[in-house]
Amino acid sequence: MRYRISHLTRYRYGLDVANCYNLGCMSPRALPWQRVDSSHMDVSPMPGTMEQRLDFFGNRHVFFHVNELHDALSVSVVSEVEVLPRPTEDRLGESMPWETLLVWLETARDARGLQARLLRTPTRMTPVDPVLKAFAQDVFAPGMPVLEGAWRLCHRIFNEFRYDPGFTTLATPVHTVLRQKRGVCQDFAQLAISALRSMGIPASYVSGYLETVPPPGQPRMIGADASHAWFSVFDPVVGWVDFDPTNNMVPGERHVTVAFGRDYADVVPLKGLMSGGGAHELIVEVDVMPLSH
Amino acid sequence: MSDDAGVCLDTLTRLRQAYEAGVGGRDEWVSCGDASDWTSILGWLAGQDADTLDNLSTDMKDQLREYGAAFNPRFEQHRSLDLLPWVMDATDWQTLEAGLVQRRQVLSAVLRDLYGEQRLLKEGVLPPDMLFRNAGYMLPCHELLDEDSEWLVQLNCDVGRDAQGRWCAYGDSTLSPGGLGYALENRLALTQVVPELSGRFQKRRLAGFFKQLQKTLAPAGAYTAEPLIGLLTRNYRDQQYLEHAFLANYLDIALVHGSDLMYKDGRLWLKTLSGLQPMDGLMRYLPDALSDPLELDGDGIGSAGLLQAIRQGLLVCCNPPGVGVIDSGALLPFMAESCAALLGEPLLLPTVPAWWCGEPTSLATVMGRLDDVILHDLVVPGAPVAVGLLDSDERMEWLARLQADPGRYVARQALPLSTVPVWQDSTLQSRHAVLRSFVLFGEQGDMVLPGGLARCGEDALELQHGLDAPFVGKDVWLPSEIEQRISLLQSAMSRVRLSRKAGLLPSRVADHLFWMGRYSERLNLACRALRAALPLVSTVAREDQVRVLSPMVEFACTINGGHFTPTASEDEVIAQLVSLFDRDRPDGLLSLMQSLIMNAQSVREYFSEDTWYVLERLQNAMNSFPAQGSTSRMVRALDNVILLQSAIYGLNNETMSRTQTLRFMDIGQHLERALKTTAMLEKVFVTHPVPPAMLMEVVLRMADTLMTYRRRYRSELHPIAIIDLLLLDEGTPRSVGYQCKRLRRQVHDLPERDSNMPGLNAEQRLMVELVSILQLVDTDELMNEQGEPAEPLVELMRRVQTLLAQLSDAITLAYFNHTDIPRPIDRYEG
Repeated sequence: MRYRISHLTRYRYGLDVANCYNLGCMSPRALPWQRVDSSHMDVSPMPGTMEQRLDFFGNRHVFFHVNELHDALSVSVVSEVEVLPRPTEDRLGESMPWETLLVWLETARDARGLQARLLRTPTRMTPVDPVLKAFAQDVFAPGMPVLEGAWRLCHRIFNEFRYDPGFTTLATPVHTVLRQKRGVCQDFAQLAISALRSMGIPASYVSGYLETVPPPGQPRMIGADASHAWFSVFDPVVGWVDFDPTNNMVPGERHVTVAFGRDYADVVPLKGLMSGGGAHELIVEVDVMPLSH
Repeated sequence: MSDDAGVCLDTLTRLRQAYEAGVGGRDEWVSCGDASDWTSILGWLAGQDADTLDNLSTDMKDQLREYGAAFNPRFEQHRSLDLLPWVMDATDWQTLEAGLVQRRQVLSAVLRDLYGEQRLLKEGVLPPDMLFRNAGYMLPCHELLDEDSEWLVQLNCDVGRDAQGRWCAYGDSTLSPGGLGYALENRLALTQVVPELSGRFQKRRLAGFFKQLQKTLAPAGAYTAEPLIGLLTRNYRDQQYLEHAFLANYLDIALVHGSDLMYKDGRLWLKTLSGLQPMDGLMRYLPDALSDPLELDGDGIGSAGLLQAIRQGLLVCCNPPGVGVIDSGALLPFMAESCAALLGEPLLLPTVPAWWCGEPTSLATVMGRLDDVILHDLVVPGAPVAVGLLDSDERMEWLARLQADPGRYVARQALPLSTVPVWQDSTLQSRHAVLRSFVLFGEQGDMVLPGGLARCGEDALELQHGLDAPFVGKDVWLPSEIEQRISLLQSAMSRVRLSRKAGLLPSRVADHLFWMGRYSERLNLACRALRAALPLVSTVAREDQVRVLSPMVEFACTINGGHFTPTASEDEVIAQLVSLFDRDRPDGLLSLMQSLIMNAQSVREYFSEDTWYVLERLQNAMNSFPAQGSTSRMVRALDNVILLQSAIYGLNNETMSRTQTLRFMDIGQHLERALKTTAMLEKVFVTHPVPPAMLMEVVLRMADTLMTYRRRYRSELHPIAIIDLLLLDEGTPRSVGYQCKRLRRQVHDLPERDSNMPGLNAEQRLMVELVSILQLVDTDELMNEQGEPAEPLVELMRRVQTLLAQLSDAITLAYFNHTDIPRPIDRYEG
């Protein structure tokens, strides 16, 4: 599938802002199953500095500094990507038994193995502990291929948790999400990651977009989409395989990947600091538009 | 002289015999033999009597205190300095020096590798989990520097003697300056207090190292003709702040806070009164995670864009964020292997035996010698824990933690350490000693500070913890073949210099100076009002007390935003007066003092040592205020405060250079005096249309103008005459008219902001208005026929106060406002 994705973020401030520093991570990255034809970021007012770089995982981050007095900031990213069917979709059963994976990891020292080991290290937002471990272990029967276990964990979250946008914030700990069984896509992804890492299984946080399909007979609503997040699990045989616990699916052509990292904090779509400004309001519009071939 | 030497030699032998009896293990003096340089040093000691030595020890303590070893009298002095230096053998030092140089190179190469291709992980030299869990390992710092840049510019390495008597590294730290200032202070203090000892020994000087530091941080011909280097400190409450202030002055660099810096157009700038100045180099004391709130910890107090500025290559950072992985102790177990893998050579300086507990065999080894190890937590870094010093409950707790998650800890073995002689409790005693050494990268080769910072203590294990605990310092002397003469400091007592480049005053500093001036004057006026009013308490008839005292007490109570309850009861007036001395009263005299000290401490490097000495006395005087007591005691205490404040004014006028520094303090002081004097006149003459003569006398006394008044009028007290003298007359130093004239001149000389703007700026316009309304006033209109204040007087006083408040706002807006720190925008919610 080909898409044109437009991601618009607008801040309106109560008071003028003299200086504003931002870091954006909103350009889709290239992957074996994803080709990025173009991606442009437009910022208004025009930044004095705009620099981009690739991070440790190869995600694209843009640093920009707006240093003229402004009371509104808009950041627009427009990208065109082609998403291909993933080669891994039907291979969950081919993955290693999870116990074997843990042994394999102990001696894995090539780039791929090191990355997997990094991605099983706990972070502030994705802690590990026995409670989280028990939550994952319930679905991982002894000897179960790791990706099958991950798929079951994905079901479990989808079935037992309620999607509730009003309940959590970006600072809600995974333990609260686990106790209250409510949250949004970031929460579900980070919960799954914490649970998997508690077992020693490498898992990463993936940020991106999902094409929403309107109900039959209704037109697509422009800008009604949102940025999305899910998780990915590593197996040495099959590679990294994504799971979307919010929608209970293995991401395919309708999932556009922007970036992956240890947790949300590694790939925040847009974060910033400003001087002045007072109170402000924020508008985000995301549109994932399918392009005809 | 030769007779004398003979006597000394004899005494020295006895001294040595007594000393040797108390030495347990290896001692630096005893192991050296008679021919060593120790003999010359101890020979001097043997020639002094104990009283002289004790006096010198006290002098030394005072000297360090002046450098700032303990400014706040509520803090214990955190370190002292022994009379005797540690004299090191030249050959011994050469071996250590070579090892230290190599160590910095290895660690720098390790950092480049870990934040780059990670060969050490791929080749199995370092366990990946040890690195990935390490809080000091920061992914945003990956490939922060280009291939040619040095990751570790300055290494602080702690060394001590191992069981074989070899130098052995037991800790590395990367925050700058890391004790460099202490080492320098020790050298200066020893030279100053015991010059005859210092003169006996030709030693290697320290200044060459500091010259190199300046060069490394601002490479020749790099960016600007006059390089600007900063020391990024935390805040004045930090224990090391005074070391930073001291070093900043010595090195001629700017002491900066995160909020003084700003990223713009690819580089970092210092916000000064004369605009943004490009920074060339930065010594970083702020912990890695806090140094860039945009890319690292969002709650950081550092500077947004610091990482970006480093990436763009226009800033030499000593050291760049990300280096903290070294401080964690995680590399101690792997030094030899890392050296072999990256430099292809054997490690010269032995490292203390250490183990990453994530390896089962290492854990077993550590469990077998728990009482001899010091544990480092890799996940939540903090002070390392010496298990041998824990009580049994704590020990159990740590044991449980270690077993639950061994991969989180690195353990290093404690060194036995050697001892050195120190002069303590009027005798020569032996103490364990460690040495912190400093290695600096240089284009023409690394440099090690000749000597370093030696610390001594009774307990070998306690010494190996860190710099935070109190310690006895020792200067370290290395013999020098040639006499060296490089000094950055003309004289140890030379006055503290201000900004070196004209106008290079950070806006934050100007802000603090302005408020220091205001608080200082506010305190002074409150004390003067009370001092003038207090003697009346016992001498005046009770019915008069309220009428006379009330306006003065009200003035003192409300001067710092406090409240006064009007009352007809003299007891209640006096109670409100006494409560101003109350320690806990948020608007009382002590809290005024706190505000004054807080502002002064934040810009410590701008005041001379003498000023600090007086400030300390002032603080002591305030702390010993009588909570309750006789009026005469209170008056004496107030006298003392007023006197000390005069001393501070005098010293500042004498020692601060005539630049913007003094100007901002002066403006603050005179603005406050004008504002509060007007407020007081309003309270006295408007609220009391016909004030009692005694109150008018108090007003004149308070303004130190009673004599002037008597000379001028020689008669009884007239309200209009007093108003003329204290409000309008430009020749009376405490009058509002005088303050305004002075303010107009000072405001005119403030740094130009925007030279393209024609005409007067806001502050200048306000001053023109202030001066002219006071000059143009028709004195006949101020009082009515009964000699009571008329409407024009009331209006004039209110207008003056409004204009002065506007002036304060205008200056704040023009000069201090860009000290605003960027704060996080509410995070984007996806």
